[in-house]
Formats: sequence, structure tokens, C-alpha cells
Amino acid sequence: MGDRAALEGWKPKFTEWVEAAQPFMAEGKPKKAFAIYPWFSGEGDPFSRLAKPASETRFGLVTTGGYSIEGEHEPFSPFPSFDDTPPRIHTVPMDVDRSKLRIDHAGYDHRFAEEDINCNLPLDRLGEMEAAGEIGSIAPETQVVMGLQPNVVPLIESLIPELVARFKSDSVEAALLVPS
Amino acid sequence: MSLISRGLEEAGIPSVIVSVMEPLSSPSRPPRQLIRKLNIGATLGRPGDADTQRETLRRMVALLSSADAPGAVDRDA
Repeated sequence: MGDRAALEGWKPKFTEWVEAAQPFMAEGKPKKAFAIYPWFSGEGDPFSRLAKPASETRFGLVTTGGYSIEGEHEPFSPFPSFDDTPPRIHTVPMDVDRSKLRIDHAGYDHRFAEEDINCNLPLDRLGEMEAAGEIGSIAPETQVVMGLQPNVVPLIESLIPELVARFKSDSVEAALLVPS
Repeated sequence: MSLISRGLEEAGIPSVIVSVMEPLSSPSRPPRQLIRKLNIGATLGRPGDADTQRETLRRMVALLSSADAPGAVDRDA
């Protein structure tokens, strides 16, 4: 993949950044650290067209909100990871027992989502759009990952291929990506 | 999230992002982006505001259908 090809050139910049950023992170000043972050720039601009009308398309949802289901998932680490450990993906069914949903992400205020999950995990809204025929269908499993992943190496080498595989096995034809 | 979008696209799955923080989503050049003036933590719309949540999702779906080149953007005025 195009982005995979650009990884080798990016790795040394990331290593340099981790060193420069560490004092800021230790002082609790992530904004200063990210002000000097080396944004990854992939090769080319991939593009796939939607093959049919939305009303006949099967959609899949990805969120970086860092959700887990109590008693089912090990919670995500709430803070950014800098190493090459493959990031986990939690599967949350559209009909999840909402009393068991927890938010592990430390990078945003949970107050909105705690009041109404649809603020960034649109379980009800997508169900309504499916029922109204605005979208063909929504895959029953939402793919949940953690945002704040400054090391893109395990994202590109491991997490993204895994998401693609899951969507293909769910026959997903188009993806909605909702950060938090 | 922009990199996930690019990876899905590369694998033949069209995708669209909603962004409330353009400085974080744009540098990696996502294929399609709906840029909204909404809140971090409520990127689709505020609690109980089903109309805004629905509008955000509808505009995402519309952008998926209408975009004819990478870098397509729909932006709040």
C-alpha cells in the first residue's frame, strides 16, 4: 500500500520527535509536543468510488472513541502509545447493552457521550437511517479503536489491514469514520 | 483516522471522515472529509440533538456518493 511505502522515510523523524517530545509530555504539556509532531505523508492519494446508490450500500462504522464493553474487553490504555505494539480493535454490536459501555479515551470530555451515545457513536441514528431506507444496511459490528496514536507504524502495518479484513468479511461496501 | 480512511480506500472500500479538528485531520490527506463546526466529544451533534446528528451522517453519506476525486471536502459555512 502507498502509505506502507512511505513508512521507512518517516520512522527516523518519529524517533527524533519522541526524544524531543518526551520533556513536554513529562511536564504534562502534550500541546507543545504535538506542535512539533512530524505528520505522516503517504504516497499518492488512494480513491475508490461508491459503486451504487447509498440506499443499496452496506455501510460499516469505525470510531476512534476508545469504547469498551465491561466484562468483555480489556480496557484500552487511555494514553498515547509510542511503541510498535499492534493496537487493539474492540467490536461493539449495534444492539450493545449500553449500560456496559465504557469510554477509556483520556483525550476528550466524555460528558456529551455519557448523556447521549449518539454524539459520536451513532447507534440509534444509523439504525433509523437503515429503517428509513436512506442506507442499504449497517454492519452489525462497529469497529472501535483508540485515537491519539502518534506512532503510525503499527497502525499501517497491523491495525488498518485488520480493519480491512473485518470489513471485507462483513461485506462492508463503504465506511463512515467518526472520531471523538 | 485519516490514515485509516486512506487504507480502506486503497483496499477498495470508499470512506468518509467527519472532522471537527481540521488541523489534525487534513495533514494526512483523507480521501473525503466533512468538516463541521461541532464539539470535540460530540462530533456528530450535541446530546439529544438528533437533527444535527442525522444531518452530519446524511452529509457524510452524500459526500461518499458525490465525490469524484480524492481530497473531496464538504465544509460548514
